[in-house]
Amino acid sequence: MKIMVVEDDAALREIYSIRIAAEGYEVVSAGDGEEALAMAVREKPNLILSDVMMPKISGFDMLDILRSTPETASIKVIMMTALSADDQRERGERLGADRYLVKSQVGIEDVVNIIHEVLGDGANQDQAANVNPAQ
Amino acid sequence: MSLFKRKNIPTEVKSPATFSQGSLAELALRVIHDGVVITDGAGVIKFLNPAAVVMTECGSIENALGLDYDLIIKIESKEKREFLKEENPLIVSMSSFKALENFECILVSSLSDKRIPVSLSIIPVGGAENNRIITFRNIEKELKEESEQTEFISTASHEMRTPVASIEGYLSLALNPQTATIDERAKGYLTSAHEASQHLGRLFRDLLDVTKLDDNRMTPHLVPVEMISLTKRLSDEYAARFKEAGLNYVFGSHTNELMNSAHQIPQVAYSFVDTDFTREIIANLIDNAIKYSKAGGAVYVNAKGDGDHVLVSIADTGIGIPAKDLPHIFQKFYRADNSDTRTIGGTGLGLYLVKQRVEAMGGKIWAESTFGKGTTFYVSLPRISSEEYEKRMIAINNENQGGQQ
Repeated sequence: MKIMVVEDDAALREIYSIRIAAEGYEVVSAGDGEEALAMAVREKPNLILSDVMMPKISGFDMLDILRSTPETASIKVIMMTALSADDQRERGERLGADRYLVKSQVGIEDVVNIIHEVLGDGANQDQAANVNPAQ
Repeated sequence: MSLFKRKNIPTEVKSPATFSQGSLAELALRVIHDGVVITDGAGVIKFLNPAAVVMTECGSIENALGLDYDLIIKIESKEKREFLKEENPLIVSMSSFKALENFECILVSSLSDKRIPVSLSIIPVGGAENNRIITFRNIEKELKEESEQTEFISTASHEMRTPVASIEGYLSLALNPQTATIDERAKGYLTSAHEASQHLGRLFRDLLDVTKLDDNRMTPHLVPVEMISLTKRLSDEYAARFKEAGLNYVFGSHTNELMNSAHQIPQVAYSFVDTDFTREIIANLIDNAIKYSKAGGAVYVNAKGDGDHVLVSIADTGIGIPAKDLPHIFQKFYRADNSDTRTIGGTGLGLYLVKQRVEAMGGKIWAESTFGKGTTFYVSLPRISSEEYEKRMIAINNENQGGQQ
């Protein structure tokens, strides 16, 4: 299983990459939406974990392009944002994000659990299900 | 009162030695920038100064003399909302002969649509005529400075959050046996550093929320909700935390008399709330209940319809709040200062944020506490009828073409 981490902050990108690699996933990473789109076509990851607020192409625009491109349309996508506003979440869900996480509400361990849950390969699925109950 | 604090008295005004005490006072009232209006016991204007004429745009002193005060002095809330007559602090103070001190509101001109933020005071001076002195000071500049300060704190917190998140992230990598190998002593040090970084992260998050709520950048997204089931769902999420802390968790019944009527009958109580705000409010109050309770205690959560309000209560059997601290607990950075609380981590902003969020949804919050016995927090929110709920749900479902639920 291959996971792509998209995050413009280099430190956070490294932290997420190392932590996710520790789960046995192959990890690739990109620093902005543009780089991520090129990499998504090339690397064909099973799941993309992406920040929303990024330079060049925002996470939302990236998601929109991913979903309308046949080669990348079925990749699972988890969006992370600092914004908790409902309209932002609605936008993410409308664009077809599998999960929409608010950074201040989830820690890195929650993110790891949610990745397992979305990929359906985890032992911690019950636990992860409690992290982000549907509104 | 700032009547005599003005520094910028126009220089052309000279006060010759021939002025009597009385005319000196009149001179002062003529030149100060605060509006001053004096009425009799019935609220009829007997005196007003030029600043009051300018600020209310009533035309001239002669125009206003003999009129009822409420014809020229009209106020709105700081948030530019109209007051209900029985909740209008100006009208309440004038009709009850109670003083009003430095109340921040918006003065609405009776002529144009001009609105000035003012600090309003009303002083009943008694005497045969039962005179009242109404003063209003323009606070536009103060508010602007306040909002600049808020913006600075907001930007600073936002900028600091990213590095704090990476410190926390790297420490968690160091502490995770899957990603790093460290010795036992290092583990102890890094655990403390990790906890401190998490505390700092919470502090910045709370600070950001405070600035957003303070300058109305975070406004509630109100939806119709059945509050009893929402409260239960949100507090049930804490079942594991309660167990871990050795606390007995009870939903729907209460030791407090206020709450124990009709809790056996399955009730519904609808309100119009922001679900994210409600989640934060309940999470914060339950967090507090857990933090300030010792193992073996209990936490009682309840929600019920109470006339035209929905009353949510969260009661604990914890250390309680001393009576002298109780009136201050909703202030920013106020911490009850005793040895028990100093060891309990918190940002000092939690209850302030809870209050801001409750009030943003049109609700009220208060607490009752007996030191050593426990504390109960009450959140009261406006209730809507089930017909109103159905109507709003249909509207929302139409909008969403099927809705989310």
